[in-house]
Amino acid sequence: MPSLSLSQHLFSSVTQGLFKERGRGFQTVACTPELRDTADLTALEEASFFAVSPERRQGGDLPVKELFYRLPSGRFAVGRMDDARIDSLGRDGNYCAHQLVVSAEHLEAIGWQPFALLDAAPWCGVADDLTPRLLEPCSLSSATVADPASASAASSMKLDQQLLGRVAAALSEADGRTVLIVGNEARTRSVIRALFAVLPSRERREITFCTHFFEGNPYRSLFKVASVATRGEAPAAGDTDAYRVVDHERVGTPPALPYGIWIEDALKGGRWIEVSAVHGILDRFRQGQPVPEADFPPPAPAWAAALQYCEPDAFARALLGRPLLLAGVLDHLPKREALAERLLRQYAPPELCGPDGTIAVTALRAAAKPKHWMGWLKRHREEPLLGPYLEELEPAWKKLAANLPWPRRS
Amino acid sequence: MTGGCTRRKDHSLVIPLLGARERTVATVGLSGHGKTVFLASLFWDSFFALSESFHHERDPFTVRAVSPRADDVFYGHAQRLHELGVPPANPRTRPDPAVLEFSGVPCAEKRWWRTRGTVRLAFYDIAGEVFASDALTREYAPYLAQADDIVFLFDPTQPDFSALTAARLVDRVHRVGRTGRANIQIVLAKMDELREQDEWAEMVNEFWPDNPPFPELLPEYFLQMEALSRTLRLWWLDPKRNAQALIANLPKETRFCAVSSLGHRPQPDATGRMMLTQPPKPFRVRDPLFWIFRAAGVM
Repeated sequence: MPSLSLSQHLFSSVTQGLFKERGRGFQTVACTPELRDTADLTALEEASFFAVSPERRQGGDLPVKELFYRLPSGRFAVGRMDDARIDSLGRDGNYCAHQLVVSAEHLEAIGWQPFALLDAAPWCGVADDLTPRLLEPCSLSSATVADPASASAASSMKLDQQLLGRVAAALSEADGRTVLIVGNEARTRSVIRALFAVLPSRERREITFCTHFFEGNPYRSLFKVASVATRGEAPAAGDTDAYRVVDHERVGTPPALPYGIWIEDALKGGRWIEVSAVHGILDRFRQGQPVPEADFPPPAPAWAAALQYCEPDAFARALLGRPLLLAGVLDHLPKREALAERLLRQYAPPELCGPDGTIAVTALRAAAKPKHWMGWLKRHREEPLLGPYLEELEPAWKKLAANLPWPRRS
Repeated sequence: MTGGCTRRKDHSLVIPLLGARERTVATVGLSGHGKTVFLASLFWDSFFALSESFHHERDPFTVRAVSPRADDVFYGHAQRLHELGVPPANPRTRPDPAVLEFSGVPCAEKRWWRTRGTVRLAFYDIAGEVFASDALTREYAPYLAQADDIVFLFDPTQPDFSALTAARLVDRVHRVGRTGRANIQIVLAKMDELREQDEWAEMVNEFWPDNPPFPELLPEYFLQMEALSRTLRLWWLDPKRNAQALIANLPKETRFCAVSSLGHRPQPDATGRMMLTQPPKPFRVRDPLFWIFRAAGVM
């Protein structure tokens, strides 16, 4: 793994920032030269927002805000913000925001684990130098950036599996909305972190997050997942339609789609091996790579439905020539007619069932609607594999013909 | 005191017939010039002083927070003042409106004394640094275009205060917000410090300490406000302040006020945090509010 050299941005309330014309107040204090006069700098400044509710401030419960989002250049920002006590006028509410800019290539190199960067980077705080200046890029050696990127790693985390399942399901069905998690922010953080370990590569690459979203509604579009400590800190009621809310303490909307149903159930049940296997299969489907039959977990209705829902074509192709797997999947799939129809429409018996695929043919016959089954029989009546079934064809056809609504001759 | 409170025809007492009863109020000022403290103090004054002086058995004067943001901004900050703290700095973000409803507002015009009005004011308070450039102002303060009242707040004790910076700010807000129809107020803060230091601010001593007006004294109070406004305009027009261009560019109806939000200067504690040494005693923070009430047609 290469060492990482990341541009930096530092933002706080100071008497004089990097850009002298701006006077006093919240502003860029320091940044790496390459960020100057870029749209990324504007975005970094805009996202440098940290607020704490009066109740939490009074109680001394000052959270740390961690965030990860996409910049206009296509790169990503990973940052940490915390309370910096008072500003130059002696007022509470100052904060220090330190963000690093990381390219997709660098993220790939560390297994797309922004939390590894959050753990490893030397974050600036109130005690650090806030004199206006240009910064050198932040260098991180590869050894300092850990890579816990697997579901098995997630199994070793102390996790709220119920919550993880609900969040993963909500994320899969968010339909463009931000998933807003309401409850203890530290607990939520561990769940967001686990998402990067358990989800398939594509979904993982789409996650952006903010671990303290108080008064963050204007920044909603930056984050797929956001966290607030209480309902009182959540955006006002009129704005909540823009969110899919997952409350630690309340049962929310159950998932409706096959993938959401499966992932929630699997993660709640701690079925890490199954989750890892199915997501590994999804990754290889999307990369166009073959999946050995041995890599499929034992047939179960939920994961099969999830794979069929996410990647129907690739899943159908993966079953070709694997009669045992095909039969197992068809036996367990709740809505198997669609898969059977897809297979019968596209593939010939030897390709679909293999040379000795009687078990697969039997499963197909049981799963498919009669018209699809008989159409397939008719098209491939020369195939020896279908010989035992051809006898059924004629009586079945006659029966069908008799039921057709054309006029009978008297 | 140059203005005097003589009885003469006073156009400020003419009530607009079509004044809106819901208004958007933007407070504008550079960072650290006291916008947030001013709003906190304005609420403090309304909640304590005015509710007492405007008391009416049948139709009492009340102020209440209508939006969640108002609950945070006004009650939260009043609580801080009560604990002798000062409100925290505003983070740089696009603010939600903090809506206050004032009801039982008495009328200054004698023939309307029996009537009491209600008005909702949506206040926007924002970190002052967003007014550092057109782009930031446009991005963070889009509400300026809808503002009915714009209260510019300047703290002459701040090192970055000058007629030039004030004029630049007013021009920027006018340029970005296209605020042609808004009522403009130019408010000078920190009168508690200035009245002892500045020869021009001696006039403030005539009104110090502050006394909330009773409804029957409102006409006189408005005459005082008018007189103060005229005097402050003259202060700005003093050649040594180089503010001729600023004042010339302002609409003729622009009002000038002088306030002290806290009544005394907060002192740093051992940790450097500013703390009040006694409960706030605001000085004339209600004047900008009363000008807004006038424009809304409720006072």
